[in-house]
Amino acid sequence: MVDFKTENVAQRIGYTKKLMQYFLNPKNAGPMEDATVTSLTGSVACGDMIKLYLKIEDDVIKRATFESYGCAANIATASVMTEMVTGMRVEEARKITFRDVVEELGGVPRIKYHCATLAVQSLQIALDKYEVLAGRKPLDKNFVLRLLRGILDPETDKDLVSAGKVKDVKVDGRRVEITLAMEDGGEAAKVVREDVTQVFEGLNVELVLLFSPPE
Amino acid sequence: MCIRMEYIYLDNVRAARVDERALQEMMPYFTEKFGVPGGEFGHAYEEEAAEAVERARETIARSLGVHPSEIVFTSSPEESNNLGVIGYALANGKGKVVASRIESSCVLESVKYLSEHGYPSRVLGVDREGFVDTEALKKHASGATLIAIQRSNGEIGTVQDTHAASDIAEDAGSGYHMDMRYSYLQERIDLGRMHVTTATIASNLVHGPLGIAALYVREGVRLRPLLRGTYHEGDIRPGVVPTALAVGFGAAVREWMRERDAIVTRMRRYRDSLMKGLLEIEDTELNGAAGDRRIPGNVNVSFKGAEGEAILLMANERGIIARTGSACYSRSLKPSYVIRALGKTYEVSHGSVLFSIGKYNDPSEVPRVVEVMSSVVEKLRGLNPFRREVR
Repeated sequence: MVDFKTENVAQRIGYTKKLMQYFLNPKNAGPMEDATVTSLTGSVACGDMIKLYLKIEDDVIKRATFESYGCAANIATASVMTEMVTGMRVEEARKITFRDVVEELGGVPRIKYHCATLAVQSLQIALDKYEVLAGRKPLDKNFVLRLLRGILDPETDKDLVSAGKVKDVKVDGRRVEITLAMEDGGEAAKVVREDVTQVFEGLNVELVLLFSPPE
Repeated sequence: MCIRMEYIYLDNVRAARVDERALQEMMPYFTEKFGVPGGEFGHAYEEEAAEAVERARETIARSLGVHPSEIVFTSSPEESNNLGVIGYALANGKGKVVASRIESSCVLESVKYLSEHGYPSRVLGVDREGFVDTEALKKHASGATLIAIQRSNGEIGTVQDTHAASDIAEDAGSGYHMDMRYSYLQERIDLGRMHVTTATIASNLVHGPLGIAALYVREGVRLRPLLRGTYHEGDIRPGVVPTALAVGFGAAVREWMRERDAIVTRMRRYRDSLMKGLLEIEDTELNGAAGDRRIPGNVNVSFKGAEGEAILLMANERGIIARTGSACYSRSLKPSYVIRALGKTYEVSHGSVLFSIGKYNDPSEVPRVVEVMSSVVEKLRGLNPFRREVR
């Protein structure tokens, strides 16, 4: 077993054989027609994006698939994670961290840790959505902010919330109104609009997206 | 990687195979002729080395249409560019320094260094094909100490109108530094007929050894040394000239010049047929200039909906070696500033792939390159959720 904390692995520049195998022949790649929940994290703008599909029955993840727009590490971490969670109970899957994914691949270059983080974040967001859909968690402002933390802001490479781009969130029943502090009409707004729309997929909400550029 | 496989190598701007004859000629200068050029009165080993280095210098000077005394050997094109920009400015006044946004990072960093040391600077944008606007250059040239506009770009292959740029520099009384390493021997450039004060060329880009480059310094142009010591080269650079590397550089230039027309014609054919083949892949966009305002050795395209690092690694597995401007491939995780300077989208930047052709590439390779790239791109696009919905 590889200890990701050791200096030599942490500083590894190249990819492990296992990572390359998952990249070249990814397992569980592709969309899932009958998914219980989906999640989207990352951004096309950053060249790093994962869409995750989970089929959950009686709180057990029966199947997991993914789609990706990103580098080799992005594809491999997402793929290996779908294998890891298949057959897991939701509360078990909740405990998976990026370190587990890194370890499963026999190490990931430190500069690519964010790919493993992104994969795990997509899992956590999907599970959040599952619990909201199951009525165990409220569809509230906190939940909306968690979803928005999964989207990268193309202008700063930070997530939308950390980048200060989320000006306001209003939740009224199934109506979610988000005001973003950015110029509408530009390329950044276009990709963010696509990303946000995808993130709310399957939640059956009325999504209103407003753009209010900072003065 | 233990399985030996026949790669098609298209990363010649990163590192190129050394010409066989150049290598053979270098070898004795590591062993029995290991001397380095001496001063005015060298001993036998120094004399032997000096002769060999001067022969190389003459070959290189002839290829540029300049005098041998105007060629200064350096360790790398980065050193040449630093010397041509910083070394020139420090010795020639405190006026403005003007460069294009798509200069090599060593030029841009040199400009930045100068701007931090009291030199006003101006970095000019380029159009969607990578061309500097000559009118804008004219506007900003007045009062300039130095203008640095590359002859061509190593990433996108766009060839600038450097005749116009050098005329503008001359009219403005400014120095003109031209990084011409990517054009060197691929295009005919007669430095003697242009107002160029300094110009950079590199050995490995013409299949000479790595570790040596040169700076053309026009007769009478003053530079401030960047490194201190006993100055050997042109009284501006300390450190001895590595004889074997200079011999290899000279021999590589000579070998290229011997079949120049054949080499350049072959590279051009390769470029045009690769470009045509790749652009037939759906949603693929050319980066850089179309047609002949592009160096023969450069093809750069973006495959939308697929990420460059993934494209490269998968192509590598299938025997094709290239480069990408994607953020994921760089240590900094920033996409190529050159592609971004063209005003292209993020998606285009991340999916950009550079194929750099060398003199050992044969156009018969092209069908396989196109076939592999096409299947790799199709596979990666198949994983992309946004792509799927588009189709």
